[in-house]
Amino acid sequence: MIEVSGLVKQITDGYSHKCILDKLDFHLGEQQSVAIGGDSGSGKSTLLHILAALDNADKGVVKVAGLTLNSMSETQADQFRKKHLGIVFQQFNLIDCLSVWDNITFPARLNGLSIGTYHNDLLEQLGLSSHKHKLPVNLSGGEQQRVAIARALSHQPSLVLADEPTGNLDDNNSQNVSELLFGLCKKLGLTLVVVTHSPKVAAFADTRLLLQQGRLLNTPNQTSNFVSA
Amino acid sequence: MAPLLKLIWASYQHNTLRLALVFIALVTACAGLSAVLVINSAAKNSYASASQPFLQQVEQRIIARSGHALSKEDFASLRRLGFSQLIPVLRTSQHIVHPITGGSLQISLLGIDTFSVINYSASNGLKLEQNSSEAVSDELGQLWRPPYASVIHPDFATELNLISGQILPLENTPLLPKLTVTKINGLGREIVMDIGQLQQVLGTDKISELLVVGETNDVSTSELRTALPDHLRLENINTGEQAQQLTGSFHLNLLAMACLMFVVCMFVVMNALHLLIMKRWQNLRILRQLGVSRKQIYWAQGAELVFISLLCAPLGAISGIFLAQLASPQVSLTLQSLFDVRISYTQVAYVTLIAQCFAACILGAFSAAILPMWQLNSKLALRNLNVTVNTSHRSWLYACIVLGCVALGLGFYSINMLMSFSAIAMSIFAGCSLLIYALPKSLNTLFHCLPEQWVLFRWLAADGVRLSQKSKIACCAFFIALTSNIGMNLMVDSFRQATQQWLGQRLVADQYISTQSPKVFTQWLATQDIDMQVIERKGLDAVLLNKPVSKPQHRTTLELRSYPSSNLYQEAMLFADQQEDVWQIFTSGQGVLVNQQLALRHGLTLGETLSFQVESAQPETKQIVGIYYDYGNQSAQALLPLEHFAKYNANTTLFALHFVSKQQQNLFVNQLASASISNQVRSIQTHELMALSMQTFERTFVITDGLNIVTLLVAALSLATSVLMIDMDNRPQRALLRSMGVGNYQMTGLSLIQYTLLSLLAFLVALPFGIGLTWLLINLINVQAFSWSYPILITPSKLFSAGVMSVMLIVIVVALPLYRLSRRKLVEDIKCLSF
Repeated sequence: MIEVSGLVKQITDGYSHKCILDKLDFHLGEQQSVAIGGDSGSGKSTLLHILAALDNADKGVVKVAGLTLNSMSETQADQFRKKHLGIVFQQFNLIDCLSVWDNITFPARLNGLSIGTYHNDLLEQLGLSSHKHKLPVNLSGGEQQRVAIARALSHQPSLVLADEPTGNLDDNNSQNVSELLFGLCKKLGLTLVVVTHSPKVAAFADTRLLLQQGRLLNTPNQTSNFVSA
Repeated sequence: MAPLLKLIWASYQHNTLRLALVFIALVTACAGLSAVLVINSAAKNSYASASQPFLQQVEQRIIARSGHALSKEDFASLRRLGFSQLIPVLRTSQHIVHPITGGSLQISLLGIDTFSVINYSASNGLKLEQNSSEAVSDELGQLWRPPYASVIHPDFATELNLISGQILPLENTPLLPKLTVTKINGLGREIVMDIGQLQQVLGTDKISELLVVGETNDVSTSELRTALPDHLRLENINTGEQAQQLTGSFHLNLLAMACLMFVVCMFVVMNALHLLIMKRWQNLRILRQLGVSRKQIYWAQGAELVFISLLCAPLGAISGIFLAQLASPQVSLTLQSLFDVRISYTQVAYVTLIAQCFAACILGAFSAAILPMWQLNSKLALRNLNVTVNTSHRSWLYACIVLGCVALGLGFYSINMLMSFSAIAMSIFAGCSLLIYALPKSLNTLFHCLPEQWVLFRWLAADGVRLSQKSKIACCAFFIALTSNIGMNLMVDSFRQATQQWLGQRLVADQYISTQSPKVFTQWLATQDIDMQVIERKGLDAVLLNKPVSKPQHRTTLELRSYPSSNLYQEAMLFADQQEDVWQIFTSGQGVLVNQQLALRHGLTLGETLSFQVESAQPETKQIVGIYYDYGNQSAQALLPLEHFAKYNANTTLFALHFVSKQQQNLFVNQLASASISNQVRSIQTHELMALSMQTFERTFVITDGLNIVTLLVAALSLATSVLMIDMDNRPQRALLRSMGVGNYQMTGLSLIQYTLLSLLAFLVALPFGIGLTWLLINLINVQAFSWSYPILITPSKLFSAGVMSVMLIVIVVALPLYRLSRRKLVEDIKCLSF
């Protein structure tokens, strides 16, 4: 599902160059889940941006679902995100003017998919049936993140990216949301990439990767114990 | 306080747009207001000086009746009878050759008997304008003592590019006395010299009028009137006060538009302050948590407003003076063509004007700050975090109903302009309330009506609800500007149509002749072999006796005019109200037709009687059988059959000529042009008269149109800017959609549709209120200011173009910022999602 080889990303600050990602190589198969850890500034967010086709790599090749992201035009990148990607944010980022149901079905409708049993089941599995017509502002943090998960899965994307999905939640909610996110992705056969500082969340993943100063300290085959470097 | 002010200063770096909006709104408001103040004050000074050259206390003058002349002998015989308070004056308009450009310039020349002025002022203490008597006596002395001089006011000299020492030649070679630029306050837009010098230059011994100086009373007026020979008459002079009253409505219109512009700008200021405070709110909350009191925060905000006002007031005043100078030729032309009064621009009292602007700024800015401050106050009360703001939209609907009822009540029972303007204000505020209620409601309805598959449009409608709530003050400003734009446009359009129809119907003759020498013209006409019909129109002034008054100067002068009763002229008459047998009673001499101005001013209706008296003749009473439209005429007028004027020594005011063919008309025009009497008559063809009338009409509304468009532009700018700012604050929501694969151009398109929708909804709400405003303007303001009304004409194409203009304005204003937003890299936007 994801093939990354020789990925280099630099930023220029005046005359100096800083390497955010330094010759990254890894490969992830379909229906796998991976947790990526690392200190602040280690390049986790930049890697997510590149995987979401929000940013371009300076060198190397990035392929997702058979599509080479480097050579994509802006319109193609928009289409890629619309069709193949689901994103779960740390701060939920729900559309505040739409109801829970409208939020959840939004990506599916954007892709012209019909709304039906799948979405109702999703709502039920995430325990949101009673909140269907509420606005996000009337939900708790845990509930909002569950809506965000449902929205990310709404159009059955090839890849789900989650950036600190439990960063704003307490332990109980964190555990609950992690179970749902990893469980549903596995059940639906989706590839999941989660960036997290939490070993508890990372424990749910099939694979754990650790980034330090733009380099991977291990490969998917050498699963890290996910202790921050 | 200092750290607080420092924080406010530092926050400007991140709030440039909001701050700029406050500045633009305050400067525009001050500019509009000060421009109108400058124009009105200049006009006021001009009226006073133009009507009473050098002299005060001149209320009457003696002039010759039509067809007669006032001579030196008349003046001498009146002086011999003991009337020493008479000062001869000769007024004329001549073409001069400009000494620098060589071009021809038409200019008013005023010859005054300076010797009489000085003698009379010395013996009777006559006041000579605002200068001291001695100083002006010296100034006037140079007019009649050799070497003779002619004087001109510095402002007028600058306008005409003339300087002291020049000798101006008239087109037919005689030279005027050497020009002296001098600042006698009484000087207006003319060149003044001694009457003897002017008579010598023109080769005439004519006198235009005799000014009656000094105090007058009933006894002296009666004595003078009795002593006058038959060919002379005494009349009240068109004093500055009268000119002010005459043009009062024009100035009131200007002031009303400027006030409207000021109110709209204050809404813009309110909106900008609201946005500014919203942006500062987080920092202010931290300050409160650090122990800064609410009072300190208010003082700091107040100091900021005073500082901004201090900067904006002079800028606005200077812009206003510049605007007034730009508009001055237009204003002069309008007033000259409408009311035959000229205005010149005297020096502006800068300090007073800036002080007035500063006071207006402070008053406006602090009034505009009340609502944002009130909201801030509830937010800053840290212990009372559960304060709930009443977000019920229904309260706005109730407010709309209550305000609407008040507006209706005020309009229905309006007895003066203040009540009428209050009715307009109330109806506009009712509209604002309805807009605040209707915008989210209609967008919400739209959201529910849209099919679920149209997910982006549904988002657009739902997001629009949020936008409309945050930008409601800006929406109100836009609504007010839009309503006034629709109202003014419809009013002007209705008036234009009514005037065109009225002119088209009333001007049935092919050509009109006006002359001071009707006998000369009729004698000449008798020698011509042209197939035509001549209709003589007679006229004289009478005193209206319907309303008894204690003082003679307070009597209403009534213009009596003859009107033909042939079928052609019967059909040409456009009645506002008439009796069935109007022409039968009119031709019998029992009935009178009165103009709408007379009827409305004196509350006269059909069937009532009109009593009037012509000079010392017996009073007459006639039945009012018709009330006719008479646009543009400020005077009370009544029409009677021509035969009625036989018993009076009435002047011929006009000849209406009907030709049997166009060839005959051309023949007449050619023969008149080559005749020796051509300089004694003014001839105008009907199509030229119509064109001239419509030109004057259009000119009247140019300035108000200009203010109207500026107001709309400022309001559109405010709405667009605030929506854009709210959008910028709402970047995460838009970035979220981008992260889901919504394309860049799609987002820009959605934004454009959203703004179009907002402006379209504002227009739809403004539409009925604009039409209502037109009704109020025509039936209340017009009637109270001008004493005439006309039917409302709703032209769908006009309304459509107003709608398109409002939408286009918004789209044009947001196009560039939207384009810039769309160029921003997605990765920059996505960071605000903490991704």
